Amino acid sequence: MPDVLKKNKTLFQSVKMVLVLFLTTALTAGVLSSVNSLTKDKIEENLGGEIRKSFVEMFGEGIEYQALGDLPAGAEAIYEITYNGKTYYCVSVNSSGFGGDINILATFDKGGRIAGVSVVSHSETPGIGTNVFEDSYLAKFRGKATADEVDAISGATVSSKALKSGISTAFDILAGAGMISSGGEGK
Amino acid sequence: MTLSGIAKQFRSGILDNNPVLIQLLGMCPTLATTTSVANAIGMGLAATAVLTCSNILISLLRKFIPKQVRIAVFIVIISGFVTAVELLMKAYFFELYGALGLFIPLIVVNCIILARAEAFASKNPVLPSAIDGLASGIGFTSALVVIASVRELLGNGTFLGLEVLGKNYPDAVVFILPAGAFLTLGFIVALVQMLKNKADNKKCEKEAVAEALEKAATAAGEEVQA
Repeated sequence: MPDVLKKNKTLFQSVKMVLVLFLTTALTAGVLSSVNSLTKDKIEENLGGEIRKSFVEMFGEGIEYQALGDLPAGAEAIYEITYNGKTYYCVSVNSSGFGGDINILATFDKGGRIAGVSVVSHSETPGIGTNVFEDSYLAKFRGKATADEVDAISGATVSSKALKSGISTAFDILAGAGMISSGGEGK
Repeated sequence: MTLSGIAKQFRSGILDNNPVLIQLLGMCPTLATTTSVANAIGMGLAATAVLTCSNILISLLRKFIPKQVRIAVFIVIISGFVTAVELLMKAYFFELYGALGLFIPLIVVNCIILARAEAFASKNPVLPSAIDGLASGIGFTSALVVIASVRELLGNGTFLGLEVLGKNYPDAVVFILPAGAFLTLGFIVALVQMLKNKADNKKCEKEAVAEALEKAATAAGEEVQA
């Protein structure tokens, strides 16, 4: 310990205080950045796998899909899906729910009918809002012309509304880009 | 560190000083994540992991942390562990992360963890601190599971997702909704207090009987002497 500090105990104490807090924060940040780089690939793989799984659940094995560039405003990603010789379009949109953004994949056929809906990530209340993401509920949208043809789930009004508005947004994006016919939404 | 000391610590963390049912700490995750037993177990284990790790690290560093900044240092350490748990869960338990996602970051503000760090780990050696963290964590988890069992069974007719009360059971949805969390917690805390009072009364009675017997014995002894 340098003499100056020895003489001035309070100064030494305040310096120590700042130093300890700084070191803890710096070390924590360092450890976290290494945990992050360790898990980053796996997390991305999980999210990518989730998208592929959603498509397989909507259609079945043997689907082909590719991401399209040139995204219109509001779309996180657009996929062109080929299955059994037919072409479908899928938009990934964010819709704000009860606990934050809900990332929805909404797929339409060329006539504008809903071909399938799935949810990739969300922050809804477990056991309440998450009821909206049950496969049995999402399956009700299949073949419908508009999301409004399906009733909301009681107790999960906000999450239901968010899901429906996400599907409508997805429809508007695709119809606006001219990829699907806008007749389906009854306009 | 004797074996009976360890057993005593576990007993204190799980029963006598259960963080949720006796100390009423960590109410936010308790009320929010007990909608299903699976969520309760996931939340309990995640919090136990953070609690044990932070107790160990804080106990190791207890001599280097100046008093004035200790709370800030504790919170940085705890939030570091929570973020690590969140990333690891996202990478290796993606389904569980999907169900609990929102509540994982909230472990940072779970006051059980800060309470154990401040009241125990910052004053005790590593091994007792680790055991204290583990015991409180198990106490937290078991309380969550008890509350979640009641809520899931009454509110959804299921246990761990399995149909228990039959398809015709009219779900009492209120138990899944936030109001049901308060109702369930209130009744369980009352029940625990009742059991505790009963046990205390019995103890008092026993002591009173022993005292009376002793008095009688001394009186008899005096009589004999006389």
